[in-house]
Amino acid sequence: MIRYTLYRLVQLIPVLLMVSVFVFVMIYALPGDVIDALAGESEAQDPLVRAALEKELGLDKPVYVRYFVWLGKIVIYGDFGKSITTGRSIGVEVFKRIPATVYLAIVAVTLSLIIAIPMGTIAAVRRRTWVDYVVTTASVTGISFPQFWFAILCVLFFSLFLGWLPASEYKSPFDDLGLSIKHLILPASALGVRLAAITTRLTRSAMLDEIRKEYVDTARSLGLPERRVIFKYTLRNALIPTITVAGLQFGNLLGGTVVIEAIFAWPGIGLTLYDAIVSRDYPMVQASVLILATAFVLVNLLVDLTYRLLNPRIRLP
Amino acid sequence: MARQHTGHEDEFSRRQFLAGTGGALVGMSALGLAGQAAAAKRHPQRGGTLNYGASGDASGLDAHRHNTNHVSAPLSVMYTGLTDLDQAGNIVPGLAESWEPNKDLTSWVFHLRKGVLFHNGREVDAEAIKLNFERIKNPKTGGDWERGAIANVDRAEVIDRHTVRLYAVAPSVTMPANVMHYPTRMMAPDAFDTAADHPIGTGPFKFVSWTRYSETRMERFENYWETDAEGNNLPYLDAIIGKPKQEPSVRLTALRTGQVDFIDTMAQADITPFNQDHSNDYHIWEWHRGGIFTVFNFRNGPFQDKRLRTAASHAIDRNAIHHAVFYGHGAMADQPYPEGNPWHLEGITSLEYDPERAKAILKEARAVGTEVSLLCLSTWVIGRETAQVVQDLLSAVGFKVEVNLLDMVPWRQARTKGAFSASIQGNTFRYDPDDFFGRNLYSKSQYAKILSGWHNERYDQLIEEAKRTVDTARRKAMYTEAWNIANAELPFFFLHELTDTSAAAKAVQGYQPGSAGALAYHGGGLRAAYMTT
Amino acid sequence: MARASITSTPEGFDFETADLARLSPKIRLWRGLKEAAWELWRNRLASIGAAMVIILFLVAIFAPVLATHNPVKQNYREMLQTPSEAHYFGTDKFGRDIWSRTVWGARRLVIIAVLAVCLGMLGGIPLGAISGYFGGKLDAVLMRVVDAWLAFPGILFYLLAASFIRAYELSLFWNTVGLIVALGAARMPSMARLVRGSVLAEREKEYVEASHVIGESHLYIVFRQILPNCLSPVIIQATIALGFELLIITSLSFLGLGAPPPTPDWGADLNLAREHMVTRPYLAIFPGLAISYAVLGFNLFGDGLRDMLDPRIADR
Repeated sequence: MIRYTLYRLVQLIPVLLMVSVFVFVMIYALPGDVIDALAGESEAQDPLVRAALEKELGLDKPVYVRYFVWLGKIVIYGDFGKSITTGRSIGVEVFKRIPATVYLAIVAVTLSLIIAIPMGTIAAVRRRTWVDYVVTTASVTGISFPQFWFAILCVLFFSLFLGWLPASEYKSPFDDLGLSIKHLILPASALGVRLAAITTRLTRSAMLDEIRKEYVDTARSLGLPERRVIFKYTLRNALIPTITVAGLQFGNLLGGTVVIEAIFAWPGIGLTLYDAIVSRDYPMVQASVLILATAFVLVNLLVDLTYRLLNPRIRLP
Repeated sequence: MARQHTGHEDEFSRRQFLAGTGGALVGMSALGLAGQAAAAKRHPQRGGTLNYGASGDASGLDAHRHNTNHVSAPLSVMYTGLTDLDQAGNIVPGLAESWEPNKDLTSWVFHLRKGVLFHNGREVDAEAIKLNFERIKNPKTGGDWERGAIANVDRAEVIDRHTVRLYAVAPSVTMPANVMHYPTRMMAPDAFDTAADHPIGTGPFKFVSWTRYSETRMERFENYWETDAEGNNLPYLDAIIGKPKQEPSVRLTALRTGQVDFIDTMAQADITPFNQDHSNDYHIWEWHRGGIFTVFNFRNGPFQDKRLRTAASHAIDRNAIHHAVFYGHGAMADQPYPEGNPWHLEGITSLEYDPERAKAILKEARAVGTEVSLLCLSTWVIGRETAQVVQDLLSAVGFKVEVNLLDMVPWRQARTKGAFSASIQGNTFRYDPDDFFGRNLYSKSQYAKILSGWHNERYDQLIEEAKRTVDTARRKAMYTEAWNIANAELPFFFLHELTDTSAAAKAVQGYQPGSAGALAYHGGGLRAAYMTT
Repeated sequence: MARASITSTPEGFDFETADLARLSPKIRLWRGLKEAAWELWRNRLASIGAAMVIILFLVAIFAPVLATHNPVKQNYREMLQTPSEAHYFGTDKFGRDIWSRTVWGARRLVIIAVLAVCLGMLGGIPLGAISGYFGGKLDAVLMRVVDAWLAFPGILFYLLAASFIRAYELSLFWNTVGLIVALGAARMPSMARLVRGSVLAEREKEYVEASHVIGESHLYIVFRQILPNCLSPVIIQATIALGFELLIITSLSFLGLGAPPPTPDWGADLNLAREHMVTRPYLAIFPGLAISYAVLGFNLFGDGLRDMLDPRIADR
């Protein structure tokens, strides 16, 4: 297990290097270059000013030199550079933003599991009854909804119309748990409902898989109550793929919350990245993408390892 | 809804130019506060925190680099300038008690108020002012817009501890307007290096913290020099917390659910329903923000041909924009200053909506189907929607129009290169008319070069003369002639006024926006606001 | 090491029919009916999905005929009207007929989605096939590349691409081409992974070994023999991917990165409708419903295909 973990960790390095190259090159291919972003409209045409700025930013060196300098600074010093728009340290900014997105993602995934596991289980157990039809239809519909539309409808309904929930604001759970949750419900639900739909289907089919297995019948024939059979044995096994997928969803959410964050003004990494792209804040974009990609592969790795831990039947290569 | 009219501008300006004594100016200050005195008699309670739902977040804290718009950015209340505004939009004393130009308007001497402190306790003296101007003018430290705003300031010179002289590049009467806190904000020189993290200004509120996208915190600066008519220290509020909420519906919801006490703008579509349903529960103010106009590119593209410009102007129906984009709010306009403003020009003629005539002109010029690229900044909603209406109107008479929505940086590049046929452009209200007529259309202005790039001898002459003319009536006549030339040659086709509506909970008292939306001005705005529970 | 235990199941043994034999005829009948009803329902969902997709394609093809008004023509006398006989879905803030915009919007959306998925398959299938077939170092390298590709935060890839495209001030045509390329490129890694998995499973089979012995070229074996057997998961994946592609495209338009105005575009129209959420909710409902309809159709159809083509899935 340890060997396998190390093996996988080592494999991460080329992956992350490739991501860093991708993002570095892609940004510089974006028209609307750095100088234009920094210099004023009047001066951007002045060759002297351009030359001076280029020298200052180190842009006069060839691409690969710039790449290694950039990467070196990150790996050795942990210095992600300064944002062009705010002038502040990027590392500080990004790491301040990540907790908001992580918080949102965790709650969204948890919410989705709370909905999906019971629903999927019931649908599997009461297979081919009206309960099953309803759940199946609901989950397929849930997957088909555009998330941003659902989010807006939520704001409209719950915030404005019913007045139950505030429109949005980030409050750290460490400051005030109750208020924090109140503000979190809408964005987390907008995300979570869709995730729930996906997970419901998965739980259902995983449960169906398990129920058909020999051991279930054996347990039944041993006289164990149905309830116990379901909950103690079947569900436990069915949960393995479910939790795995939930972990993967969490990893996906880290980069995929942009639209929700934009609508709900949730100060997370997605919104930061979106703004940085629009304002051509290249250092910020590069650093954020790199951090997000790293988080994503790490989460995936973790999920994979957990899966292998939980599922002893998987053969380790 | 209060819309203030600027009525007394002429009188006050002349008084200042005659180097008013302390007495005259004190008298004027009292006059300026007369409106607020009535509010002061309500025994404003000191204290309270205002939650401000802002339409945008700051992009950076360095006030010399990042424009902190004085009508919408909460951070703007941290700063004051050499001169200040009053509610009506006149230029009044700020950090400087008085000022006078020399005979030929090439330099201005500003007498600083004594005992004014920066937020960090340093005194505001002439040396500090000089360092500020140097920093702004340096392209490495000053932002593009900020530098452009004081393009006419050549350098600053310290005369003595509380006297500073500003030299002008060209003789101009606009200097007092240029050194107001919009656009020129004074910061403490000893804090220049940390300006991006902890800015130090001279305003009624000082910086506490900024968490991007989340909140901006400011608290009362106890040593702020301004007082109200009864001698109470301003400001009254303990603190202001700015909460950026870009989505108009989210912002409005936040106001209605009590999450914020004040919002600086709301979506145009929401104004009428909000007024109808809630005018008893909230304060609502509508104020003039600026204008929106079409720019025709003289540098390249089809609009170098005057006939096509004429056709395009005839094709535009301002009424359509008035209803589709603004839902009937604000006024259609053919010039930048609204009616009631002293700089509103009389006797202006502009082309009427006449699509048949437009079609005829195009046919005659054999230009039916001319391709037009209409440029607009992608993030500016009003501009985008106006661009769509203009596109439709122009297409109806025979142009082939493509709307080109670009993000900020490519948009600026396109303007600089002149890579557009026409563009939809806005202007914010300027307290001195030269800032519009000069900056936007005077051929030697840097900014004008990236707009239409128009060049007209007579227009330039008039602008140069108007810059040097003290008498407002004569100035006005010059601008009238100039604007008529512009309307004949069509570098711009002015479309509509930009208005915005801000709202506050009933608990917010003592607040009124400036006539052009200023959040804080001499003796008023957020400086004199207070919270009741 | 796989251990024999009570939790393992011999493949293919159907417990259910074994059960049935023990039960009384009445219960067997009831069970049989339920079975039939379920099959009908499952197939019904699939056929509903198929029907929805077909209708969507028909609408896209016959848009000029179905539309009642010019979708881009503004009409200032008829702004913001509620649905009526003249305007089935009402009018938007510029007086444009929403029904016509919805109908025309389908066209652009469907074309982009289909082309994007096709491009994804075109790139992903060979990549996955080669990687899975040859294995070894090539496989390791290619899969690392795919991993890096996938690690790129999802929508941000599209944001970058869309900003890129928009900044070049391209005509509508090239704008669309660029979008298709970006979407297709983002779709490739998942396709590649899927194909690789199938190819890995297939290549151990006997007929592959036989072809080797005969002396068939690798390319022949991969593309003419193995791949055709791997098609079903690819087709299923492609169908479902079409649905998700629609969501991605509309999300991008919603963020303002779609086609320039006034092109009819469901996501962009939803964005416009946000202003009027409180006063005129119907403006937001129709484009949103349209998107949901289209995605639902593809999902149902994809599910149905999966049932038909991949009987091992435990959802009978």
